[in-house]
Amino acid sequence: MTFWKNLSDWLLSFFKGENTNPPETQDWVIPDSNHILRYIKPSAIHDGAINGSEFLKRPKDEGTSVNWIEYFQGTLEKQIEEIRKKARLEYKKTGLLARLSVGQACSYVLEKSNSTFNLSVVKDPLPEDEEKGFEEDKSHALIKGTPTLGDLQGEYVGDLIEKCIIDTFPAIPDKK
Amino acid sequence: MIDAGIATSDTGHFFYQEPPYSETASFGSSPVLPGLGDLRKKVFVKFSGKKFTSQDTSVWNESYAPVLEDENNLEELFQKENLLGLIQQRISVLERLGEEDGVSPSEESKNFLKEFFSKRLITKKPFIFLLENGNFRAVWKDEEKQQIGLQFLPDGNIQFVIFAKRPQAPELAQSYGVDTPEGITRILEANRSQTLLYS
Repeated sequence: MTFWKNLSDWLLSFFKGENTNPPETQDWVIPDSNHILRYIKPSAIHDGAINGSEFLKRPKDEGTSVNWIEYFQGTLEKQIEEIRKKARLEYKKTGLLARLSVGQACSYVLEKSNSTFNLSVVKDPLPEDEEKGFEEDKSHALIKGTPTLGDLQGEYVGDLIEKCIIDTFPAIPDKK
Repeated sequence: MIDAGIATSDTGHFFYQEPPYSETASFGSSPVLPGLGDLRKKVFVKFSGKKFTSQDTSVWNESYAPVLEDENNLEELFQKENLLGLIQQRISVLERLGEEDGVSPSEESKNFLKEFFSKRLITKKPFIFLLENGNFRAVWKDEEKQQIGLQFLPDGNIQFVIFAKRPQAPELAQSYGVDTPEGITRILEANRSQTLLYS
């Protein structure tokens, strides 16, 4: 049943020109070759260094909230711009968006933690929220398997993920 | 006139003054400059044009500090003063950012962090972050991907994450957990993490 729903969603988005990636089964796992973006707030940035704790999930959440870059088409700059438009958090001027490779981050954490932390990135589309004025966000995804901040291993896993950051982009781009 | 917060008594003992400095500060072992416990060698400090010599500095029993060998290492003491100032500055920035994000910084964590640094002769500036739980975290990194991360828990313990190089080992050794400040000191020593903490 999930497969058919995924397929119909994908066909719909394909014809809308939003997405050309094949639908996945298994809880909508995002392919290893794809990338995600995580918002880093200013208090977790110091002289360009990023605190790994930013990659941990909040106690009430099912995973760490991220955006799936390849959901959108076009250049990386355009994909990031689309993600900025979908933001439900208030991005701060000195905040950053950190880019990670799904496969590289998951395999790095698995390897370094001696297979203790098996992370995966799954699609978690957010429905439109008229009351709060949020558009539907189909690029929203979750890193599953991340500990919470209060866990003993929390910061260790967060620091491992932080080492996988490919690059960062301003959360709010400079006006040209 | 004392132009810095560090001076020596005529008996050879250091004392440490908080600003504003005065010429009439009391000599003796208190308040000593903390973090100089491993000071075993003679130290020379220039003070108002005179040179004083320490004879026995074993009165300080903090265990984690580099040995100061000559007067050139006085620079370290000034670096420490500068570092404490930078840390205070960073904490103020984080308190403001926390307010904007709706995170209340933990007073206990803040005071614990400040106490930790004031008692140790750490000279390398850490990155300091405010966590969502209101605690402060100090992180040191180097080009070899070594890293020390210390979260100052309000209960007086430290949650640590260490990635450290070992001689002959191709991979960085990893350790994490929660320990007391004294325990952390031993762990840092065991991990040979001094290069990350001292200039």
